[in-house]
Amino acid sequence: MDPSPPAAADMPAVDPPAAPDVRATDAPAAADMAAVDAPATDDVPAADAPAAGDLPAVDLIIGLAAYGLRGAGALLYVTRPLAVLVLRPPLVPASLQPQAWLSAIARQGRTMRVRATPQLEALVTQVVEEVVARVDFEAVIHRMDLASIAHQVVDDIDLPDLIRDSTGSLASEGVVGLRMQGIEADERVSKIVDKVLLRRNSRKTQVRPHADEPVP
Amino acid sequence: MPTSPYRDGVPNSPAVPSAARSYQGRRAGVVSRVIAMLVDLLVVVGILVAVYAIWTGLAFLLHPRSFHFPDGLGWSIPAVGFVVAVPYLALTWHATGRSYGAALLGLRVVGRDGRRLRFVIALLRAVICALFPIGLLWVAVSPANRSVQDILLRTSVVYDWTPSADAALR
Repeated sequence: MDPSPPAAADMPAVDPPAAPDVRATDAPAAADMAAVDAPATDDVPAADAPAAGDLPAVDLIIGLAAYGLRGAGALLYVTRPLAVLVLRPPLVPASLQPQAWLSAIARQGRTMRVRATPQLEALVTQVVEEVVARVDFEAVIHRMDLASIAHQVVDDIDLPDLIRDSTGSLASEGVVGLRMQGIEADERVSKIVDKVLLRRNSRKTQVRPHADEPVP
Repeated sequence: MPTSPYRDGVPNSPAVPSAARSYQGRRAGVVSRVIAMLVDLLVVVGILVAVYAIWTGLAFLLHPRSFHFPDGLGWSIPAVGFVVAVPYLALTWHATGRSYGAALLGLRVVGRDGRRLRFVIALLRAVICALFPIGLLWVAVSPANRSVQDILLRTSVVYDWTPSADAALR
């Protein structure tokens, strides 16, 4: 047996099964997430949120999806060596390894996909064209009250508040940071100069108080 | 016994973080003041650019055929800068105690008793600052954080982060 041809054949054959592996690992994870979603929405508020009404469902789903993806990634990382061992068992000829079977199946699937894609595209185009030809978009648009929708969107946006929130906080944080750094730099420079001048007493920086009125 | 309006800082003002409260009402150091001066310099330069743009625009509108950009500005730039800077500084110091640079750095120019400057004093201070800006560096050496113009006119520049013009001054 010549080791080099199988090895060369192995190289391209390694990737396609690896990709299905990932999908195979992700798919159950996604299914898990979907299955977990419904009960989790009940669990999370009890865990740390103050009120059930404050939990946006979208955020919750995104958070759970992130957890699921992280879990899937960890699972993939842990099981990868095992999968390699199963797919390419040592001391087994390359042609008899499961990876070779999977590669052959993947190759066959790819050929079918390539063959079917133009037909599918033609079918979809035909269906879409048919639908577009039958739908009277002008009538649909006439039926919609676009002006009121536009007004409602503009009213809901509250642009001045948005601008105030976004620029105001940024500006104030930046200004406070600048002022604090200025004060710190002032102190540092004063200390250095006082040391150089061998000054023992601290600086008298208090302004003279009002002479005629008490201050609360 | 009278106390400083800044003795306790501004403890109830949400605009002043706790770390900065003990500094309120104290004379500011050289770094803050130099940065404020540089910001004011930028403002004056901006005004000069605007004046130049308006001037050339008017010249173009009035005499479009013989129009050419003014050349040989030379000494007119510092002269116009002086004419712009002095009223800008004097008016802002008299009105609120702060120019734009001072407002940005949370500083306020006050008189000897911590009150707002009279207009004459503000004008004199602006003239001295415009003619002798390097006098500001004396703040670093002064044992009371005073610049040359502060010593001459008995003024002070204090940290004052209160947002309104009259919150600390009466």
